[in-house]
Amino acid sequence: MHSPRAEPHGSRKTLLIVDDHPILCLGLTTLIESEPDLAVEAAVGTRAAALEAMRNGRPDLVIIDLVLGDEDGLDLVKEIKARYPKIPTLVLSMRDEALYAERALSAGALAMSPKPNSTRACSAPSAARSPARPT
Amino acid sequence: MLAGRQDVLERAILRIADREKQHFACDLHDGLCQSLAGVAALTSALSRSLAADGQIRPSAVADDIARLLNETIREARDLAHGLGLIGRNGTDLAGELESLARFIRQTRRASCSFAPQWRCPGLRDETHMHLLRIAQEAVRNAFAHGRASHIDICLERIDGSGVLSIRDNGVGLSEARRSHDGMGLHIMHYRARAIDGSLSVTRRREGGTAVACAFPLPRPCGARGGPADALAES
Repeated sequence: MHSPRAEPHGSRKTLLIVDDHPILCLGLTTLIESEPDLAVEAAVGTRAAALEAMRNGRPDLVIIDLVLGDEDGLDLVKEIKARYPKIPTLVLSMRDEALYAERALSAGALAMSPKPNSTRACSAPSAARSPARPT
Repeated sequence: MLAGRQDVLERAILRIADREKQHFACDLHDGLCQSLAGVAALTSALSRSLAADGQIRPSAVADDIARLLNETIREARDLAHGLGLIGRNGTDLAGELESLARFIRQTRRASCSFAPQWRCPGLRDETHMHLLRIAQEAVRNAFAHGRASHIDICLERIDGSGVLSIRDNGVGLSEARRSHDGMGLHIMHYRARAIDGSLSVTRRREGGTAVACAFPLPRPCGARGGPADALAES
């Protein structure tokens, strides 16, 4: 998986990206890091790696792909909700948004965003900065 | 004996063709589309970086590339859905038909309604797949041959059998085409037989074509009556 730049995050909001596709991980990381007030803490491809990353740090937002290889991204959303209820999650997917948005929200996600739109860096930064984020 | 063996072979060929289509759709959706989305994100980051350096024109070009990539992703995604990402939604047949109707509304200049009278739960995977393929083929025919602008998809239970119907407002199927029985229609009939069902393709009095497939339900759902009776009533 892509390693984000190893600079101190300072006052920037931090994000954890969980997506099993390396090119998408690289693209999202680069795009998010181009925002002056956002930093990618880690970009990982599995549920286990995501939970490990969360043990080592507390991101302000976790971005999770709906499908993580053979794993269900929504299971990870539920797990994070149970273990770290104050950390919001954003689900990304290329699948039918109308069908999955309700499931993502029921699992505890803050929002769901289709992937082509997410690459325009609309959803992730605004979700990370959102005042609605539980503190 | 020979007819039975031919039937087994035909079923196997159809199953293999469906599986290959499904693999191709998955590779397109879960592989190529994801890579393109990653490249689009990188291009957006490049555009921002160029803009921050005051390179307005190169930044605008990078923005154009990102926009084109996003359009290409949508096209590839539509292609994958057209091939049928069946069973990927983790939903029942009604959910899949709902997705199909939404897909038609989003990608065609046509309206499409889906009225699930009931969810048709507990279907075998094979039955589920054949019914969805019948619906896809009927929709394809409605646009390609019928020049339809509206399609109604309906799933209901009639006298203990399931009935899937697709009605359009197009020019209707000509007698010549029906008697010629193109490959698409032939395969739709075959799919109906493969699930012990029956298919009817009729010209509607008010214009357009009606395709109806009656099929037996799993035991807890169905009670009395057979698919043929249901079709007669629909």
